[in-house]
Amino acid sequence: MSMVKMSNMKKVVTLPDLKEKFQAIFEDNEESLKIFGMTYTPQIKAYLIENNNCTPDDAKCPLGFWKRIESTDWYTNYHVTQDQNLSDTFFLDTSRQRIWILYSLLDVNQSDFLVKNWINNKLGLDRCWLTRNHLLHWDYPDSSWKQRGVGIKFSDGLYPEDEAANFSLKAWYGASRKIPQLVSVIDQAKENFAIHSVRWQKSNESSVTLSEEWYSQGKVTINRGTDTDEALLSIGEMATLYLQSIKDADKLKVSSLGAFELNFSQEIDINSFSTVVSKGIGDMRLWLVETETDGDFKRFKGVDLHTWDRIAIDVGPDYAYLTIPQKACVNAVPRIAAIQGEDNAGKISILHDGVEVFA
Amino acid sequence: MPENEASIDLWRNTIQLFHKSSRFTGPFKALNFKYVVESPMLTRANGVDKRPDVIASSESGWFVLDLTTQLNSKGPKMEEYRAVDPSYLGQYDLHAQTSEPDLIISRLQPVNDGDYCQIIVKDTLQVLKSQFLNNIALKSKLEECNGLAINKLPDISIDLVPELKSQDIRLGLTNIVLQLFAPGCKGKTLMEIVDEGLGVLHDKVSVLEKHRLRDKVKDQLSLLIEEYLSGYIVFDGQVYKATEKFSDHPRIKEFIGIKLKEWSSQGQTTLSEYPHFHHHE
Repeated sequence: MSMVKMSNMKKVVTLPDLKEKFQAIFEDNEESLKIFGMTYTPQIKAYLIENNNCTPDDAKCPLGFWKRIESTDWYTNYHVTQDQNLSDTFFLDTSRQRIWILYSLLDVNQSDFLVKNWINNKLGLDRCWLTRNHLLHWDYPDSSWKQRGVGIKFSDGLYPEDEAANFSLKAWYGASRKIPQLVSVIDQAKENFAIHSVRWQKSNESSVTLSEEWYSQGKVTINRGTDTDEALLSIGEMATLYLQSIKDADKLKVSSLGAFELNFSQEIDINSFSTVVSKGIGDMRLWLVETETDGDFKRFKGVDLHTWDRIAIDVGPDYAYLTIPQKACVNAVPRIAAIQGEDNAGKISILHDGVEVFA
Repeated sequence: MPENEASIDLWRNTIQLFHKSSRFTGPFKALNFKYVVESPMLTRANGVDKRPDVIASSESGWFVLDLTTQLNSKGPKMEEYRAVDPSYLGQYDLHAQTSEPDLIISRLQPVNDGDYCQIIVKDTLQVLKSQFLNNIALKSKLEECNGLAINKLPDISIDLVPELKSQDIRLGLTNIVLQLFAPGCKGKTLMEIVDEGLGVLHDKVSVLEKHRLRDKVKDQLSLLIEEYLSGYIVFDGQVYKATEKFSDHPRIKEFIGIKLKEWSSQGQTTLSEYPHFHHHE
């Protein structure tokens, strides 16, 4: 995204400034956008970041460096080069401490790239890996939210590319009015594969006030908004929900020596799993050593390359037990579930002692 | 199995009897028993400190569980546990009780311990001498679960326990060794490795037990460095750490994994079995 170098453009120094900037984007008002040096309307994106005792200064900034704005726990980036001024393109809300919200106004490809590098290069930071239940959080009776579409992904990543039963689908529910048979296809796909994204719309009487697409890697894109506070609240709601899930899972981990259980909708090839994880390759980013085999059941011990925390995984054809040492981070559980689900295991449910968690 | 050497299987298969998955419901879990591990209790009469391996309580009653692979009778030790005062259960958020505890011994093979209930947790659950349990619900549930397959239960979040045999120590160290290759890892001291492996038990085992374990861990790591991952891991006198020979390449990782598997999966090993082994200091 090219931001015009404008010496007199308004900087974000307070939280109201930030909200004003977001509001200008929602209203797509040329004059308001110009005040903030924006020559066209960027899309607002946010990333939920799981943070293990990092301060913003420790964590550094995906682009430039952080400057605290005149509101507790909020930061903006400062990045000016000879050619461009990309300050005030990232904003960080650290008010929940364990779960940060990183807002971005950059082009999606540039933004995703910078955020990925930022997280991968900083031990202690991870994405929030939204489970199916998180992604479908607003799906309850009398909800003011409506589910408008779904993205489904299955890479069959344990097999060579030529043999993989790759499946990818992005469906807007409006299309089913034209092709009614689509409904059963989408429903079957949802039951067999992992949900990668869900599009939600919030309505007030007859008009849409907010349209968001949530992704399993903890990202949300705001496709349409009318009220900045309403948009920030919805993102904060998901961050708070995730924070509670992490706290609940932490409590289970500390109070018991038991394992988390992942149940898959797709049977996996355990030997292929062993080959992939023994090399520390693949999207799962697990480096494991096979320690025991009992028919179609294998035990592995190793490290989770996202954090280098220790991990033990016992894998059967359609399930896995995940054991995490007391000091390791429970964020590995939804991460492995999300990544393995989309890569090779399909729809995954996470349980502890028979009770669904990260729900 | 040589005397005085425990097995992580014993711990895993016993602890999982308190848990539930989609494929297995442990008998203790079925009766809502909550448990604590290696937690101090006092006896009724004279307040003597006792630290059973596991204490568990539910609405139906409570019991003390001892895990052992020692081939001598645990009868005298179990009798001491009978005097443990239940008024301290609340301190561990366990269900309050007033009666004497039931006493259960968990083993991998039957040994004559006297008049105590014994559970054998090798591959299938065997329940012996359940007539000595006072808790009728517990007695009935354990008898019902006699013969239950327990060979594919989840792992537990402890890698090392005191008195492990050499092979189990190597298995328990596998993931700790891999952590040495983390970018920026400055290495781990022997005691750090032992404490990490013990997990929640690290401040609950005696100094003597910890030192014995430390010496065994040291021997197994020396074996690893000399015979399996020579050049990849060194001990610099203070810490075990990775060398620059390691690179983040799939083949290197696979090689290290293969070597760790060879190291951990071989049978009982002592250093003397390696004639070229020079003790690593």
